[in-house]
Formats: sequence, structure tokens, C-alpha cells
Amino acid sequence: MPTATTSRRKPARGISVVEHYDVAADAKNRISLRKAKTKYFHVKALSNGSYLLEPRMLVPPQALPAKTRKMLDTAAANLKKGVASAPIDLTPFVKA
Amino acid sequence: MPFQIRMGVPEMEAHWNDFSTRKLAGTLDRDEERYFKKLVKALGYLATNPRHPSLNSHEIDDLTRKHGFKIFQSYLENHKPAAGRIFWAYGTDQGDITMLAVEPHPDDQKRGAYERVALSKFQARKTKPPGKR
Repeated sequence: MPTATTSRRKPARGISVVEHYDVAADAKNRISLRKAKTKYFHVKALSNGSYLLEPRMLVPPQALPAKTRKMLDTAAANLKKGVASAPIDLTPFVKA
Repeated sequence: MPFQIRMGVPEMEAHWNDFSTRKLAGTLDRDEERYFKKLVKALGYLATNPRHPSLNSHEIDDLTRKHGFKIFQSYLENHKPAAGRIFWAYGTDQGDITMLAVEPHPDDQKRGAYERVALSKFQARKTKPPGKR
């Protein structure tokens, strides 16, 4: 009996299969990923029943704006060389 | 042990000199006055106890890794979603703390913001001489 087959797709450059296994979803339709490298994934449920998972990284909310980063980098480079201002005097600004 | 506070050069030093001289001259506007008060309060806490609870000081690992010495972040205010932050490190000598940066950046403040807005490239509209239609 002839079987319909599709030609095997060439793996994308640099990507190879490192593990393949069968899993069963539990009572709550959950499956576990083994040796997952990242914590977060973007999941695409395809119409043919497949699921595609792409690793995602969280963007740090406290990311520094460019100006502040430049200010910090310059000051840090100078501090490394031992260059900083003279000690400041806070007494005129502190209420007694 | 009280710490001596130093300012990072050149920007933090210029920022501090600008604000402190204008504070003494009484020429800070209301927002700047409020910001400077918070900054002085935070620097006071930092000088006495860098681990003061209201500063919420914590090391920023990425910056530490990048620069090769410990860089800390402290807050200027609490319970605010966009709280001001200061970045500092121990040094140059023992008993010193150097302020490296402040967030939001002084130039990001509203002061002078309108002066930095570039004018549009539209040509000035020609007015028709009176009497012509």
C-alpha cells in the first residue's frame, strides 16, 4: 500500500535535534520539558495539532536609558583610575 | 562609620555643583527643590549607613560584572512606580562612596526641554499683499 510521504526538510543551519522523546499530557493537559534551557517560552499552537515553543528572555524593567548609562560608564572609568570629586559637604542642606 | 560622599566626574560633579550653588542662591524651581531635597536626604542616609532600609540599596550584578567592581543602586523615594535612583560604588579610598549616576538623567527633566525641541522644516507661510485676491 503506497504511503504518502513528504520529503525530509533540511535542518536549518546551526540548529540540530539534541533530544527527542514522547510525553503524555497529565490530567490538567500539562507536559513537562526535559532539560529546558530557558524559563520562559512563546508557544504557538498550530492548526495541525503541533506546538512550537520559542525561548523568550524577560527584558529587565530597570534597564538604564542611554544618557544615564553613559554618565555611569564615564564616572566608573574615572573611579577605576582613582579620579573623583572632592568630598561634598551636606551640612548647609541638612535641616538642624 | 560615616562615609565621605564624592561625586563621579565629570557629569555628577557638574550636576551637584549646579544644584548646590543654585540651592544656596535660592534659584531652584519647585520641582528642582523637591528633587534636591530627596537627593540630599538619600546622600545623608548613604553617608551614615549605606544599607539604610529606606534606600533599599542593592548590588546590580550586570554593572558589577561590566566594570569589575561592585556597583550599587539605591532609591531616592519609596512607593512610587518611577522612583528616582542613584548608582554608587565604594571608593576611591576606604571610607569613601562615589556617586556614579542619577536616574532620571538631569537633562531628562522638564527644565529646558522646550528649548531642545527642533523647529519644523516647514517654510513660513507667505502672506498675500492686501488688496489682491
